[in-house]
Amino acid sequence: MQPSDADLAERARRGSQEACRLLVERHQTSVFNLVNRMVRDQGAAEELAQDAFLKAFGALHTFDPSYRFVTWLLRIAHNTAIDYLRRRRPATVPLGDPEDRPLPESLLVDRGQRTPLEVAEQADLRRTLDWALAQLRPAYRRLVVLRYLEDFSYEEIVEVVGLPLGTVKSHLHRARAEMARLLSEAGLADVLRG
Amino acid sequence: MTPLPHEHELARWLEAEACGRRAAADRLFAGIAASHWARAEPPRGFARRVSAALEARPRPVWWESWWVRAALLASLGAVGAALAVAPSSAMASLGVSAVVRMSQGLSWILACSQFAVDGAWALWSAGARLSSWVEVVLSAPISQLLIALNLAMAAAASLALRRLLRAEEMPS
Repeated sequence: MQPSDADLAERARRGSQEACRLLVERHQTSVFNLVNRMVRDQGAAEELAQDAFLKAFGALHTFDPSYRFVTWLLRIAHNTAIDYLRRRRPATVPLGDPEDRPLPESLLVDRGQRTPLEVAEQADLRRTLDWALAQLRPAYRRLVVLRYLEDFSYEEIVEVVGLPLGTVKSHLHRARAEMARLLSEAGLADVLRG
Repeated sequence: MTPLPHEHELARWLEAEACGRRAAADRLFAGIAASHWARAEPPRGFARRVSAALEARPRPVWWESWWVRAALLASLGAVGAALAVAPSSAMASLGVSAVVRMSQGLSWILACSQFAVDGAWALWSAGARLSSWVEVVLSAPISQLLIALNLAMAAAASLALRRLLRAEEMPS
């Protein structure tokens, strides 16, 4: 039987390197995914994710086993990414009207030569969603990642990002609406209407 | 043209968003993400590098932590400030009273320790006296005779009870 996160965290707190290794292997994708989506820089994300793990293992005495370990770990990763984004001003997210932002070539609808359906068939949905997510502001992006990629409840998201529940819900709604608008503008709505 | 497998789900989600049905939009988008979206995977060897960094990390020592240093600095600062501000006569009387208080505290600790040792010794000797008295009583011939009689009576009573029960169980 696999040891629980709480057991591994307790063993890691007592100095077990093996427990640390198991925890890293178990949660590396969640941590890297959140940080990478937030900072949008693979190299920086790798360093920040590693930094988050080191911080977490250095602060294991503050972990409360009555909460989920991954929630606590992602809160540290989230704060690490936020600190990085604050240091790295100006942000890489394009400012101004979202309509001015460049769309990836695979999503541009060339109405003169290709039908929307042909474009949609070429465009992989995963890349499309990745692209739309990348267009969101970091404050929305992290919520979408936690809710729809990490499958966190609203309450767990509140734990990670430290915002009120109502704010989390309204930001998520706006984030989804923004993604829907981006996808529609990219020609997806035309495709779906046939 | 064959419709894309996710077209229907996307259309329903976009429609829910357009109509402002938040709960449905949330559920539908979660379904799309679960079946068509994936998390960004860390590069190969990431876990190994993190483990190596963890092993190479210096072990924290309690006296190197910031709060210990801060407490030490604060106490040194407080003592220094007191020495600088207080007049020498006050410092002298303070020093004398501190020595007196320390000696009082020490004598109090010694008295408490003596009291605890005396109490433990009294309990121990009382227990020892009781056990030696019990030994004397039990080793007397009259006590042994009484015990033997008691055992014999118990055996006889047990035998009698068994016979009585057997007689009751016999069919008439």
